[in-house]
Amino acid sequence: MLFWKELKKIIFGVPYFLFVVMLVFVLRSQDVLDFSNSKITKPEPNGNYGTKNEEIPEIIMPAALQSLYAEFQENNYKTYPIGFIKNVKLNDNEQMEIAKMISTITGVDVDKIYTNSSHNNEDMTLDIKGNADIQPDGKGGFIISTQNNSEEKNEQDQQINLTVRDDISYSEFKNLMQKVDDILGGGSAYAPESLISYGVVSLTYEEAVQRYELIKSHDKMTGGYARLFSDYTVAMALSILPVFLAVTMSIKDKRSKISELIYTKKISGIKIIFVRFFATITAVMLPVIILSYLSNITVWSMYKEMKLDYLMPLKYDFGWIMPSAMIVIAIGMCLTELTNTPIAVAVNGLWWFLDINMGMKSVTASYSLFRLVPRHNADIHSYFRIQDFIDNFSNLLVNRLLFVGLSILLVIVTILIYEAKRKGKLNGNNKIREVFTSITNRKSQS
Amino acid sequence: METIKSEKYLPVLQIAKVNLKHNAALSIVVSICIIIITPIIFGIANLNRTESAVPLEMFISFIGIVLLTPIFQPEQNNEIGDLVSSKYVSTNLVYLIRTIYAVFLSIFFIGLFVVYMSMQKCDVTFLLFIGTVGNAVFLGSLGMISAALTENTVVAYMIPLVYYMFNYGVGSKLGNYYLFSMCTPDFEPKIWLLITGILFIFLSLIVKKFKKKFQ
Repeated sequence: MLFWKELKKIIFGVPYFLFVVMLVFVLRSQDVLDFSNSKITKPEPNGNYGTKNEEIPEIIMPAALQSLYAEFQENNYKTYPIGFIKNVKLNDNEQMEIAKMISTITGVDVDKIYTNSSHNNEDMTLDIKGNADIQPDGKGGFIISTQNNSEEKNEQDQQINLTVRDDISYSEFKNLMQKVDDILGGGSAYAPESLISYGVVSLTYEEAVQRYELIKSHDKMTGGYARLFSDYTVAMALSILPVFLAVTMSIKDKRSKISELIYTKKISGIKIIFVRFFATITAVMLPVIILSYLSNITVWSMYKEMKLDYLMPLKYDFGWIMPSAMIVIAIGMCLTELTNTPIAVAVNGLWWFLDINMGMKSVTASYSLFRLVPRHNADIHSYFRIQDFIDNFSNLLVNRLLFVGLSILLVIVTILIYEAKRKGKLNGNNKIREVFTSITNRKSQS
Repeated sequence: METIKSEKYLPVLQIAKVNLKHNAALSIVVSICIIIITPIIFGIANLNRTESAVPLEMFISFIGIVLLTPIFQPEQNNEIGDLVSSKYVSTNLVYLIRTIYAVFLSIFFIGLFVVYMSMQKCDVTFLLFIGTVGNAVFLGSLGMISAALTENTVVAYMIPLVYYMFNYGVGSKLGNYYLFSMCTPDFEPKIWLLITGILFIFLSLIVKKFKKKFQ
């Protein structure tokens, strides 16, 4: 049977051996293969239950204002447009705009705020009021002594006390922060969707108990561990490693020079490509399923008296992990079939790199529609952030279904390319192919 | 006399020229793409020393994989390998020439980016430059040794890329082989990476030489 033949070809190859070794190594390094020391217990009163982010305007507004003013004074704003730090330095006009925003929020005079920033450090003019005495310091510099009147001195020394105006609403504040984010070029912590990062509050005892109960009822004690396993498996392995298997498998025919021979066979392109696709998924998911159970089994004995869901690892394997593996394999097959080169490694590698560095700016962003790697990096210390998971489950579902759909679409495109090549349509005149085959053929010219 | 001279001196330059044109062209294009993409992904203005290390270690280092990993690629096609072996110039000399220009190109591209960062008022130092070269040479050498041992292009790219991934997950536990140490900032691992990288390059050339001998 073709499926078993293809599966054997993958499983007995060097790339697959490396894939399994790397998978085990990565998961071991992240401590998700053994949870025996991570027992979750019912919260006790008067304990520390960790923190959470909540959209509480009374906490967010002063904290965001304080941060903005500090960055404004330095004229050094930290933004993360793609995930990496970007230091933004504004020109005088833009600094003035920020000063106006701060003035609107606080009611403090805009000029007073503006003069406190380092907007004009490069062209400083010294303006000495009162009686000044300039003496050489003997080291090539000067000592300037002034005798200001006490009123001026007090004015200079006065610290600006910035507080949010009582009459400013949260929606108004968010609009102003949106403008600040726009001036900074986006990706700042002042963007309305990121403002929640300033709303750090401690979990109460009641909330901690509620979360513990949710872990019991919703997660059946095993779900949180399966989620953590899935998070690392997709982030560190399944969103990139399967592309190597897909590329190896797709390029093999060409390397062994049997492509043309297979083209002449009666077997349809649909069957060949779909069988290869499913064989690769099977090969990829086999060790994942085994490891997910080995990992989850370590917690079963800790909750003997409770009702556990023994199928939880399987649900997460197929629901969370497999869609990422599917899209990566589909990209690998499609681009290799199109170009006959391992270009898919670079394409998938870049996507993985950008996606993984998008980080976890906010809970919602971790489940956004096009995230190759949905993130939910939460352990027992945060009660697996189970409430966040429940709140965002529909987003995760849409994301995973989208990737399943896209991967099937890419497999269909791969079939079309395969059939076109079989009919000789992509074997010479096609410009894309010419570009890529010239890259491959460069070796024959040396 | 002219013929003897050309046989003795010209092949090295000629080999380098031909290889640069036909084998390194794509790698050079991808390296240039990396240099162009980096400022889009990362902000590279007004960075302090530690922040400057981030784009250099995390992205510019890829240039090493791109330029060094495909050193043995052309001869992996047996027909080409046999044809090259039949020439009077040793295949090992061809590999050495390719390695030398790939290392120099890596240094050149990294240097170019460091100068650009400096123009963007980043606090980039010579140590950061050397550290990035160390990363690039090490990652590239991993690709070379994998290619030499497995004769498989995909595996050759897989090993250095997966090692790079490990650094995301495992982090500083990798000790002297931690790729992103300059962000900490710790420059000592760079010496280890550079020395190991050079050793791996020589080792891969030796592996290829012995493989050829016993074929």
